[in-house]
Amino acid sequence: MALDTRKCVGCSDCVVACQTENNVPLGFCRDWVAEIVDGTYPNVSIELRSERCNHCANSPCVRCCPTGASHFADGGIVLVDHDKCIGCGACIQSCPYEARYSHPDGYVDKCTFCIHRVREGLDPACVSVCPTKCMYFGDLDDPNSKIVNVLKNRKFKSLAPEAGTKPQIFYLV
Amino acid sequence: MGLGAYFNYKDFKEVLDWQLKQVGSSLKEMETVGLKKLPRKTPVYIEPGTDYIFKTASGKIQLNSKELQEGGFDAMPVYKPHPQPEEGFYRLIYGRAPMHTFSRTANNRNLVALMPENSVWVNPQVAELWGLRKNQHVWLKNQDGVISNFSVKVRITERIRWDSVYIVHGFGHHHKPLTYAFGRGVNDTELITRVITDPVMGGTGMRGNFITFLKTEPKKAKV
Repeated sequence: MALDTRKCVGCSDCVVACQTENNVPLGFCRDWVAEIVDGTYPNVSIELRSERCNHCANSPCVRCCPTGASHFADGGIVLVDHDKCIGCGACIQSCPYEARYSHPDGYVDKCTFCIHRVREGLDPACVSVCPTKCMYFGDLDDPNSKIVNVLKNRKFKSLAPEAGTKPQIFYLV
Repeated sequence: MGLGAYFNYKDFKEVLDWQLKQVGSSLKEMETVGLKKLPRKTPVYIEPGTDYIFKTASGKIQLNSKELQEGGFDAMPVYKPHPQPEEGFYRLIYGRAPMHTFSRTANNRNLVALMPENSVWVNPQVAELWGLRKNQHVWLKNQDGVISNFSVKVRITERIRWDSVYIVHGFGHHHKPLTYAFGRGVNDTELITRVITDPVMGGTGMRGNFITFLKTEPKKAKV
């Protein structure tokens, strides 16, 4: 997934879409909007971006899970098997993006890239509702996909590269 | 009321039909199609290199207005200094948040979870001067002595000027049945007691109000 920080207005529509689509309990969220302000007035720059699980290729959460509840699903999407999860919270501690939370029902929950929608060929809920169309979702292995085109032509960064987790979400700058 | 002559129709549908006929459609057609897209006749943008004639006397972009001069105003706009805040007061600027629609959605459960209340944006230099801390509750008082109904959290940010404060419009509801919206944040409109009117075209400016901070809860005057 790629997100355009220059287009994002920080409306949090993605957050509400995710909460409604995935029945996220009130007070919790799988994605959120970060606002980063740099400099002092009048030379201020601001970056808005929608953050979520980075579905890392080298996931510390999958590695540290004692029961195998955290696993890689189709296409490298990192998922939590709610039946296997014992809610120990080791993955919450290991995640450099703070993308996971403890569900009140006793398991750990996180962004699934809306895998139930992706399997039907749809975009994740957050991508499909974005009013500024600042999110791109697709297959990085497909050279003709839109996301590959976007990443070819724009500068981008990923979050916490020093953690060495190989995150799969790219922020266009 | 003696105004019947101005409304010479029996059913408003007649008016709608007449209006639609002006653009080459009719009520009967619209009732069946629902939505009709009419093709654009003029280009969206002025193409570079074309001689475009503007609807002014000279046909060009005209900054010096003869009509304004005839009306007794400056033909060319002249800068007039606008009122500045007194010492200890800050210009009250209001705006919108992208997740809320004016004050309408302040009681929407999902959107309240995103943004439950507004905060008053203060420049760090101003905050240091007043000894304001992050998320401290303050009451606002404007230049006419009007004090806000509720308190508001302080947000210290570089995104605001030194001489101004900013709050998001649409909060500070004082209607109790609005369970989620009641008493959250400050209502900017109660602090806007002064409205400046543009003498030329009558536009109103409501950002000419100045507020100061009250760190302790003020005693409310009985209404």
